[in-house]
Amino acid sequence: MLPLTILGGYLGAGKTTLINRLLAHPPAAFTGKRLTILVNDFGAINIDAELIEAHDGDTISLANGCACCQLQDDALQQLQQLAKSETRPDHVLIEASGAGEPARLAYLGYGIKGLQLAGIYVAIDATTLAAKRRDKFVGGLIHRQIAQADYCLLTKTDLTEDAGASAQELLASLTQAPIARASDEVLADMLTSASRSLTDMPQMAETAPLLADTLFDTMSFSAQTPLDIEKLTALLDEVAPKLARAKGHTGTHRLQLVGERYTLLEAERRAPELVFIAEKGKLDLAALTSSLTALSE
Amino acid sequence: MTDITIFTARAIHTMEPSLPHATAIAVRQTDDGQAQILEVGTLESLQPWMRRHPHTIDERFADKVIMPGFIDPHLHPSMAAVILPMQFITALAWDLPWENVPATKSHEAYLERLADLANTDSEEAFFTWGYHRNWHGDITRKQLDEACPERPVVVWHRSFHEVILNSAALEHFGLNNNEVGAHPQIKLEDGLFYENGLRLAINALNPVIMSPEKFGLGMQRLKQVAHFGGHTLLGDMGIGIFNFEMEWQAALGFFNTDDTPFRVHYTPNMLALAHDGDYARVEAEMAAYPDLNTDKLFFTDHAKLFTDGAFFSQLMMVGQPGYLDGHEGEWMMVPERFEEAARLLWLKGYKVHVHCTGDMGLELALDTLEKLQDEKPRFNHRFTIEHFGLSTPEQVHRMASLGAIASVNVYYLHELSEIYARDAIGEERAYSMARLGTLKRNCIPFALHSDYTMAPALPLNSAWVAATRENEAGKIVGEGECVPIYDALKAITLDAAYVLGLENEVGSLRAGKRADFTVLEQDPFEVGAQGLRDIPIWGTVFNGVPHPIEKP
Repeated sequence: MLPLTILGGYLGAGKTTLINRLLAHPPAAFTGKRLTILVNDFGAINIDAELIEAHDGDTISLANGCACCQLQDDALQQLQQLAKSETRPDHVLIEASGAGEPARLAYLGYGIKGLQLAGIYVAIDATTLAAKRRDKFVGGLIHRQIAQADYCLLTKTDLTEDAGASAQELLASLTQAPIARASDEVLADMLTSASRSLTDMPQMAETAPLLADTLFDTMSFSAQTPLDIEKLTALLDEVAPKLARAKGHTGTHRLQLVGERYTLLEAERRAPELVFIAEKGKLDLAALTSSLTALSE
Repeated sequence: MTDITIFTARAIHTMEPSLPHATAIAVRQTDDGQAQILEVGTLESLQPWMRRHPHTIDERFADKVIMPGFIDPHLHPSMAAVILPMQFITALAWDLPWENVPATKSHEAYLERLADLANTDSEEAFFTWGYHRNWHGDITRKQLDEACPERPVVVWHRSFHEVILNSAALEHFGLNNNEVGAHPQIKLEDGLFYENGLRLAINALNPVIMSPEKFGLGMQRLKQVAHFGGHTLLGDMGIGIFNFEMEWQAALGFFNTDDTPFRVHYTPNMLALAHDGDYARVEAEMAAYPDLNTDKLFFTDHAKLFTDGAFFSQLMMVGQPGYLDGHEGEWMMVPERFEEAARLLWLKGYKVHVHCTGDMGLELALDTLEKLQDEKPRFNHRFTIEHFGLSTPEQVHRMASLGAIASVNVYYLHELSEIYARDAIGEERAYSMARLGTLKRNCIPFALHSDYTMAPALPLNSAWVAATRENEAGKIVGEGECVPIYDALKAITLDAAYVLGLENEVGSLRAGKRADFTVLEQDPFEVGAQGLRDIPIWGTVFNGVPHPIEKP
């Protein structure tokens, strides 16, 4: 199966910058593998001439094995050819149009034999999110793009006064998808993340697979008896700022944690089952498992 | 110098305010092969020409009415050429040169008609266009199999956004497999393909619908359709929609011929041509297109851009309070990209045509135009709002302030006002589609167009909708937006020429203009607004030469 990653996000969100970086410096985990990127705006691709092996009309081939092509009007046929090509790449990334909904491209991937969707990433400009989501022309589109993300990439945080903190908080109120600052690790993840199941479409946020990879640490917890809710609250207050996402059942309550805020709603009693996601290296999840185990009495 | 021909008629409506009505018109070939009007008037008033030059008087139109040649400033020959070879089965009646297609308004009637037409000895796949769920209900593979078990049947939706196949067709086009079945936008058990699923079907159907035989038949038929409607000039509002070179070669092959009784003005589709987003490169190419001009096919200085999505697919961007069901439309070009392309064209002096269907699409076009006027004021710029589906009176007033003009698909109102009142945007807004009366009150020139096959390419039918605002349900809707007969006729002649920047050579009948006429059997001013669409067309005079419409 050829994994397909979709990179969406509104115009100016930094998709092309991400792609230029990815082409010039493929992540270490990807050494020796071949990545093909299909871009909307071929003219904006900017690569050091010394890295380029061949430049042929709508395709640039790099010495590192990567290639970049103009996305054609008939993207379906282009992907079909790529998937059945003898020299097919190890991974394909499509840049979705800034005007479009990335989920549409995901649908396109369905009809193609040998292709498997690996995830939808949506880039979001931290400097403009607050204004753009209220824009009379594109506010609705921005919200739909965010809603379709498996993962949100917050870009240009270094250009904000608060290092992107308020943008991240706002974004967390709009999506349950994990949010990461765009970095080289993020790019690596886009290529190595496990493929997702086709049946997960189209509501990705709720059903996105939990990836043990370079971007996020994830931990699943289960126990036989319910967790002490008061002690759990105290524990959550402590770890919430370090978590990207948590959800599940505590035995007596449903837990939803998004962007540092969580809710516990009383629910039918059952065996606890919880999932925690934190940005890589931010929280010791093994220690969290021990703390949780202690609450299950 | 050749002889003068003087055509006499029962009435000649010139669309010239200084001499609105006449009974004789003198025509002469110029040295470059172009037929020119020498003078319009009466046999008496034309005496100064007749005394000086050899002439013949042609009385074949003595009991007929001559109008300036009709102009459709916005249609898509290459798209029409794909649809026209298909059998029309449509909710509303369509008058085609080779067939009067009756209205088929119910589910049962649709399947019955399909069975009648498809069950022949032919082994070729049967393609039909015009199916619409609002009238015909859900048509499924099983129902198609019952109606036509043997022959492959392909049903295209009116909007061209869906296709339904029977089992024989799924088999024939190799679409009956698990790979296809797994796609979420294909319902294989129903034979239904939509959105991205449709692309999969199109890839399989393309070898047939885009084959030189089918496409060629479509181009031939479009030529018939154009003449049948009484046109002497068409505007291809967006060459490049499929592939510029293919479309231009097809135009040269089929339209640049002696038997073509009309000319075609070409406006490049900048969005389609700049598939890589490089507007500057496309502009440079566009600047050289006039070098390709022939006598019949020509570019000037126009360019086409887009704001919001298709009206027939409910993808127009609708302002507050939005659609009844809360869905949102689509941007064809997002604001930043639209502004970038519009600025490039504006600063280089192009006449920019903007596809705008919803009121938010119009809002974006006007916000942008206002910015550009601030940066570099232009006069007589012909920034044209194409389609003009939904709008507010305030926006129309703003159009007037900014110098924007309109080319309107008024047929939206006829076909969609009733359905959209019920299913899309409610009655108040649905009934105010295509506000022609408000355009007139703001003194904004407007043309009527067909966007063929979004509307029939019958200018008198468009004029009838404009003057009566009668919808397919027989209701008069948004009566305050009706326009008088004169304005409706001006919108298919002089103002249509104005939209294409050709008002100095066509669009009205006066000395010096081209000798392009449409000849009618009845007088539009006598039959009244209600009678406009039923006026029989005798044919045209193109470049001074009579071209009767052949009756089947």
